[in-house]
Amino acid sequence: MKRAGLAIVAVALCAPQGILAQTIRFNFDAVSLTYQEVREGRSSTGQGGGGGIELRVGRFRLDARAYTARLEPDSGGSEYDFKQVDVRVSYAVNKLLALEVGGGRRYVDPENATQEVGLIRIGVLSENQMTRLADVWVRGAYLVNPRFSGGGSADLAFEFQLGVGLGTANKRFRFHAEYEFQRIDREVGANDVPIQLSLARVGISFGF
Amino acid sequence: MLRKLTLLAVLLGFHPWQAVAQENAALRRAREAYGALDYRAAIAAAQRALGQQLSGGELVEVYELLGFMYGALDSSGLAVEAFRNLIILDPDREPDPGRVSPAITSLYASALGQVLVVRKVGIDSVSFVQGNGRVPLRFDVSQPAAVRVRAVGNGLDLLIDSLSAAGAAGVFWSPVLEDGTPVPPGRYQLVVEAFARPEQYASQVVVEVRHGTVDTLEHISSLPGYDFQDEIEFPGRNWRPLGLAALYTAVASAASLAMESSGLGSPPREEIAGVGAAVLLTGFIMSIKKPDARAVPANIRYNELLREQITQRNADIARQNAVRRRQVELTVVPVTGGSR
Repeated sequence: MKRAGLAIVAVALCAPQGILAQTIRFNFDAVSLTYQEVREGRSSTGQGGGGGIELRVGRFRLDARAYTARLEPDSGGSEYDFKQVDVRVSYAVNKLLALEVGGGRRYVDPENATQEVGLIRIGVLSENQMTRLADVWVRGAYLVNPRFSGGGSADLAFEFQLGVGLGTANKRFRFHAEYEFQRIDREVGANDVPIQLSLARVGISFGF
Repeated sequence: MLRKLTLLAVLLGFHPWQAVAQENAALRRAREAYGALDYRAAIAAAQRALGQQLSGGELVEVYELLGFMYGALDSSGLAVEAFRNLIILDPDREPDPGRVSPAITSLYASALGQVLVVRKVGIDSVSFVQGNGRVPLRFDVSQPAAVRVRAVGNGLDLLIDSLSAAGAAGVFWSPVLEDGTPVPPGRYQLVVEAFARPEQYASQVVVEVRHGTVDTLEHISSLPGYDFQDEIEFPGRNWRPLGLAALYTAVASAASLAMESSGLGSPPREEIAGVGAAVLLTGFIMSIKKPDARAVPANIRYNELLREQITQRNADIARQNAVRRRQVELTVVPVTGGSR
């Protein structure tokens, strides 16, 4: 998690001035999530916070987000820390559609509380400006060959996101709300041990 | 007799409409008798008046009365003689065709053809920029004659034109010197001299030449008939933002339902419900708020072209003003007229 944070700061500080001159935005979020795994009834819920950076240069866009939340199992048990880092790079094909690739890494503490996951994503992003002040977007991605700390594999894994942003016309201040859904059909041997994540994120961002 | 009258006219320097303070008694009796249609008594009184000291105006009136009365008595020769004297003394005084008989007018015309005079010399007030105008001078020569017109004054004697003329004629005076500079301001006599040997006659009009600065042109901020157009417009309110929000929310909700893992049961839907509501609310607010102004490219281009035209016109005006500041506006007005 620390390494991810340092990477975000490094991107912000080391980017050439010409690129920074395009658009750079810093996000600060509050998150609420529900994490389900293995079987019905085994879920955890919790809240936390996060942040990120968004950089746009021409048709390219870089999103790096991270959050941490304290989750409490609904069936009782010890709370644990749930941390996620996501990076996405997209290229706008036209005004409404962009192709997106990226990666993600999930950490938990203590390590055996649940699965740590590493993944690569390939997907699309559709962003639409409702007015000069507001925009709405959806993104969907196929998660390629996710890796788990407890072993196993997943042939079917995908995620999607719904978001809305509302801010000032000069884009400097912005409120946003996002919903993110992730499903990974993990299999260990012949056993199905699926993972499902449902997350809501609200926050504010400052752009330059 | 003709030379004496001419000399008298010059010595007296009278004006035909000059008022007379002390009226001659014989002239008054002549006028009264003429009014009573007693022409013989009127002629006798007029002849007596001619033997007395008369002002220029009285002398003109006596000859005019004699011309009318002789004309009325069919004494054509005497009438023409009287009119000739009248014309020599005051060429511009002529019978009013609306008040006297055609016979008398004809006699006057006959007398006019027998003497050389320059009549009705005059100009109208005129004002123009140096080099861009001339002063029209008009006159009337009673017989075919060689005419020379000069401008005299301020130490200058400038030949305006020379021509052969008979009847109404005119010349144009360009009040500039040979080097193109305007004549100095002041009074000038525009002298019209007519020569038909052995007679010669001159008449003049006095004019005043004034110098003034040429008005400069004002710079313009608009072109007549071409108004600047609004470069932005406010489109009408529409529900597109709400439609987009609904579409995206529906897609996300449907995907969420479709992709739920059956093995994990139904997940809590607070997150999708909360964010979906936020999306719809944002779309609704964006739909009901006043739409953003948007640029009108055609009008922007039109205004750019208009500004270019105005800038070009102002540059032309600035160039014209630079020339105008070096020019002089000449105003020429008539002061008096006369003859000799």
